[in-house]
Amino acid sequence: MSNNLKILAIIFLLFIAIIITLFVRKNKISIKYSIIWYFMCLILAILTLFPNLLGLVTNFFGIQIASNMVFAIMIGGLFIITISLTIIVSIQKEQIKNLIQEISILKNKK
Amino acid sequence: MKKARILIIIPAYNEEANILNTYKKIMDYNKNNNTNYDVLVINDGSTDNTEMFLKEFNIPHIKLIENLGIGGAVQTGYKYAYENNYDIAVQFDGDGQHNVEYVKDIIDPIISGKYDLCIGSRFILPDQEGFKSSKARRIGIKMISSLIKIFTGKKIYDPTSGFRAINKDIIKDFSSIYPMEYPEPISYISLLRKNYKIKEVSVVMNERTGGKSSIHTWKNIYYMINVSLSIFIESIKRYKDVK
Repeated sequence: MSNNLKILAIIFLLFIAIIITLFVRKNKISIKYSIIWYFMCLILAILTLFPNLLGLVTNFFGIQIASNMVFAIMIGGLFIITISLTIIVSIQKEQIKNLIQEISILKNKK
Repeated sequence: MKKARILIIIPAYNEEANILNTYKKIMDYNKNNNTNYDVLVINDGSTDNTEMFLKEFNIPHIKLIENLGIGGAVQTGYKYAYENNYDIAVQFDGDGQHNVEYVKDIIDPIISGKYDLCIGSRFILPDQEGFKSSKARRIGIKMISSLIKIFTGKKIYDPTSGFRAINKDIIKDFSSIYPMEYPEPISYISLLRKNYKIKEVSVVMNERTGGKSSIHTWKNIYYMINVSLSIFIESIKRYKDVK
């Protein structure tokens, strides 16, 4: 990995982290759900700064090219994020349903 | 003995063509048979004139502020029944499929205290008259029935019937948790696992007199997958409050 590429990758990750922080600051992402994104940025940053670490893991699993390992890690991370989003949506659907029911019952009480 | 307080819950989504008739039939029945079934229509965010009819004819109803679908609508009725301390809640279709004369038949087993839930069933007698749905749907119903039998050991002949009565315990249970989609077959798994007693009595149903059925043909495959999966998941859930 060339130094230029490393710098680019770090800048990109910082950019993502800053965007997440800005959204958290504006209350558009809650702290609870921002953590997983910071965590993902952190892992990718570590792998960028210490490529040997990636080599170790790649060799361990017998993967030929290090970049494939990066893809695998990222896809894994995205899986976790999407599943957690599905959970959040399902919980919210239940909560919204309960709200609709309670409000409707209250509204029609005379 | 104090007379049981009975609430008939009628979920209605765009039922302007039928709702008034359904309500009138129940009121006439009350008058002629000296019963006092209360009625509560749940207007599930109808986009037609259902609400206008309900208001104009003073039909007791709750208008949901958003459309919730059949499960959420009926559950609103159960929550109302629970808050208002009803002894029995009867689920009843607003589209003219169900006959009020049979309400007595499905609440009797519950009043006797022997059963917790009673289904008005189309398929219990082999040569039963009345409307029995299309052939494709009957096959689907048979499959669901077998699935329930496999997972709980109990045969329910008409697991998709939307005509059923429940007692106080189940009213409480349903007001806290009730399936949002295709609630009837799925709810039997959890009820049977919680050792509630379920009875089926034979009723005659009519073909819909107007409006559109909530289950469309193209959704049938999705329906079967969804119900089968739900039955399986429901069978491996953990319950805290087993009777």
